[in-house]
Amino acid sequence: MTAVRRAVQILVFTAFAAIVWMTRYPLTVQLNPAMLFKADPLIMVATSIAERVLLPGLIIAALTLLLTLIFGRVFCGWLCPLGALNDATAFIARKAAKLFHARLTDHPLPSAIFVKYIVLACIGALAVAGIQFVWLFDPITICVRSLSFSVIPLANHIFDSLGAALIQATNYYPPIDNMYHVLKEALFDPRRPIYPHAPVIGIIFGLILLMTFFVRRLWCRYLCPLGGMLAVVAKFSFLKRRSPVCAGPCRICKDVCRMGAINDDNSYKPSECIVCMDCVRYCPSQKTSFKFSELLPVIAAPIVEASSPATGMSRSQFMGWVSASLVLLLPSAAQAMFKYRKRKVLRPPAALPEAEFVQRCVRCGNCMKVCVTNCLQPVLLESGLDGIWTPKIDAAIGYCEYGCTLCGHVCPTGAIPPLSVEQKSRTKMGLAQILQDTCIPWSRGEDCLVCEEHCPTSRKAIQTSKIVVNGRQVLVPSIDANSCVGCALCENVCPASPKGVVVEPLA
Amino acid sequence: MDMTKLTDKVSAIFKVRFTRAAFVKFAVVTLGAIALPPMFKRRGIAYAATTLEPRPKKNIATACGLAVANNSDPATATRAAVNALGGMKLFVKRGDTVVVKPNIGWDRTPELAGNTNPAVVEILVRMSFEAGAKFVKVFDYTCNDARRTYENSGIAAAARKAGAMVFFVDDWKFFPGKFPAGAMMADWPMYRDGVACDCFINAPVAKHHRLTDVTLSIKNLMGVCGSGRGEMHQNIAPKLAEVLAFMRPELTVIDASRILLRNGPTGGNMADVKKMDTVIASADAVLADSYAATLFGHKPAEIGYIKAAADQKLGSMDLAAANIRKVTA
Repeated sequence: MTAVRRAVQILVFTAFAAIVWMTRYPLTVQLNPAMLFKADPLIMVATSIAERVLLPGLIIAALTLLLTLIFGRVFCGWLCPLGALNDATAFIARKAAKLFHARLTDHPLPSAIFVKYIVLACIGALAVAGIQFVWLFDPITICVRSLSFSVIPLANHIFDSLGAALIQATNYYPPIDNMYHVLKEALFDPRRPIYPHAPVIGIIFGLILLMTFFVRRLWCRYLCPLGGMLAVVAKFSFLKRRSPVCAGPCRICKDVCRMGAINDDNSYKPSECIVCMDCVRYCPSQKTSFKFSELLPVIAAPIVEASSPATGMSRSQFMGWVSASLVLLLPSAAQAMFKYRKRKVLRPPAALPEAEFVQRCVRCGNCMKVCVTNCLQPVLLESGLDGIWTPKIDAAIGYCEYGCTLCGHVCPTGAIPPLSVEQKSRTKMGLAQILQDTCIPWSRGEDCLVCEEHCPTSRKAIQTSKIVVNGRQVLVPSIDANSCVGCALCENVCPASPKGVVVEPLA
Repeated sequence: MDMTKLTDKVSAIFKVRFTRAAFVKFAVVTLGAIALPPMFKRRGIAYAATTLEPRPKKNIATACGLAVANNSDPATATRAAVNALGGMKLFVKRGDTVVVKPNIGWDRTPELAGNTNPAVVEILVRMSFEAGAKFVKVFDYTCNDARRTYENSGIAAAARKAGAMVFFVDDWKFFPGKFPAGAMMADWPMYRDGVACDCFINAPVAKHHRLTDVTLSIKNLMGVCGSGRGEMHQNIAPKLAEVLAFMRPELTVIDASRILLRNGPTGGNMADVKKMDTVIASADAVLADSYAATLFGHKPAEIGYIKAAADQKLGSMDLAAANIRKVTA
C-alpha cells in the first residue's frame, strides 16, 4: 500500500507541477491552473463568504469534502502537493542522516494540533467580516506561488546558464544551439521572468519544508488550515482504522505515524489520520486494517477518543477557549483596520473594483505566472495591508500586451474576468500622462517618440505635434484620452529617467 | 541524533574519502560553480569581455544596381527580384551560415503589414538553401512579446517550413560591438548571431514611421542591436548609419507587397494598408531604401538616415544614376 500511495503522490505532484509549469503562453485549456484552486474547499468557501458570492468552483470543492467524508483525509495523505513535498523532504532528510549514521527522530508537540483550528477560525472570522485572508495559509496557494515565483524562474536561470556555457564552449555550433532552443522553448519563457518578491516567497516555502527535519509533516499536523477544515469532516468519515486485539504493547504504529494520530492505548484520532496506511504496513501482528464503518458512522459504535480528565479543564482546552474568544474579536478589529480605498496601483485588465478585487484575489500567482511580458507583479504595501501580493502592472518590468487575454483565463475566483480579444482591446486599465518636465522632446528638444512608435491602439493614443523647443523644431507627444487603454507600454519603453510618460490607474 | 558520530563523519568527509556523500557534494559544487556566477553579472552580458568585430565589406558585382519586381504573389516577386540581381549564388556560398533578418517587431497578423510578409521570408530561406547554405537563421529582437509576434506574424511557421532555425533572441548573446573610435554607438551591445554569419540578408517591410517618416532596411537593423533601444532614438539618423557600416548586409530585400501608409510602425487598421505587389532587392542598402522611400512619395534625401548613410559613402541615394531593372515576373 505504501508503494501505491507513493506512486499516487508522485503522479499527482508531477501533474500538479506540470500544470503550474505550463501556465504560460500559449495556455492550453486542458491545463488550466484555475482548476487546482477550484478543488480547494478552503479557498472556495472562505472567498465565497468574504465576498458574499457563490463561486462556481464551490461544486468542485464540495467533491473534495465528499471524498473526505468517505475516505478521511486522503486529500492530505495522497493528493496534496505540499503534503507530498513534506513527505519527500522528510524521507530525503532521514536517508541523508543515515549517510552520517545519525538518526532524525520526531519531536512532536501534541498540544499544537489545535493551532490549525485557530488558524482556520481566524480565516473564517475574517471572511465573515468581509476580509479574505486565506491566501496566506492555504497549502495549494503556497505551493503554486512558490513554484511560479521561486522554483521555476530559478530553474530557468540555471538552464540558461548551463546552456550558454555549453554553446560558448562549443563555439556556437548550430546543432547545439538548436537543441538548447528547442528545449528552452518547450520548458521555459524566452526571457527569464523576474519577481522581486521571489526570495521571500522561496524562503517561506523552504522553511515549511525544513520543518520536517524536526517533526514529519509539521505543517500538516499543526498549521495547515485546509487540513483543519478536512479534519473536521474526517472525524465523521466512513473509512476507519481497526486494530482490535494488539499482540503486544510494541507501539510501532505510534512511532511510524507521520501525523501523531495514534494514542498510547492504540486508539486513534480520525481527524488527524491522513490514511497513509503506514500503521497497517508496519504492524508486526498484521492486525491493523482500514475498513468502512456502518453507513451512519455517528450513530455506530463510537470510536474511543483520547482519554481526557472527566472533570475540570485541561490546559489545552483552556487555551482553546481563550483563543476562540480572541478570534471572535477579530472581525470588528479587522473592519476598523482595513478601510475601503481608491485604486492606487494599475490592476490587470477589467479587474473588479478595488475593494472587491483585493478580497476576491487569492494571491495564487497564476496571472503573474502566465503574463507574457512579466508585467504582473505582486504588490507589497501600496494597496494597503490586506492588498499584499495582489497583482499590479509594473511598467518598470513589462507592459500589458494589447492582444493578450491570458490573466483572466487563469483566475480561479473571477477577480480578473475572462475577456475576449475584442473586449480586451476596449478595456481601459489606466490613462497615460506625458510629464513635460522629463519627456525628452518636451524638456530637451531632442527627437524621441519611442512611446508613439510602440503605442498599440490602431488610432494611436499618442499623437504628435511639431513645436519649437530650445530653438529647435521637434515632434512632441501628447495623449488622446479616448484611445488610451493604459497598457503602460509607453511607460515601459520610455528612455527618459525619470520616466517622461506615466500611466495612472483609473479611479 | 548522536552528535559525536555526526562530527566524526563530517571530519571523515574532509579527509577526502570518495564516499557517496562526497560525490553528491562534488556534483552540487561543480554544477553550482557553473550555474551561479552569471547570476551576479550584469544582465545581457553574461560572460567575460567578448567583443564583436564589424562585419567585412564585400564587393559583390550584381547584374544591376537595384531590382524591382512586381507580382501579386510575393514569393514569385522575391525570386524574380533576386534573380534579376544575378541570383542568390552571388551572395550565398556553399556551406555558409545565413541570417535572414525580417521585421517581426509587432504582434500583428500578416495582412496588417506590421511585419515582413511570411512568404517573402520563406522564399529567401529556400533560395539560400538552394544556393548551398548550411544553416539559415531567422530571428528578430521583437518589440512586442516574442512568442506572440513570431506566431501571429506567420513568420516562424513559414521559415521553419523552409528549414530555417527560428529562435527567440537570447539575452546572453549580446556583446559590445567594436564600432570605430568616437562613434555614438561605441560598445553598443550587438546580437552575436546577427553579426557572426557568412551572409546577412536584411528583409524589412516598408512602413510609415512618425520619427523617421519611413522605416526601411537600415532601420530594420535595429533588430540586431540590444540594450535600451529607446536611447537610439535621440539623433537616430547618424546612429543608424553607424549600425549600417557595422552590419554591411550582403543583400537587402524590401517587402513592399503591402505597405503601411499611416499609424506606423505598428499599424493595426486595414484602411492604412496599401497593396503594392512590389519587392525591391539590392546589394546596396541605401539604394534599396532610396527607391522604397519614393513609394511613399518621399525624396531619398528627405529621410534622415538615408542621407546620413549616403553622406558616409555607405551606398548611393542617387536613383537617377542607378542601374535599376524592373521585372514583372
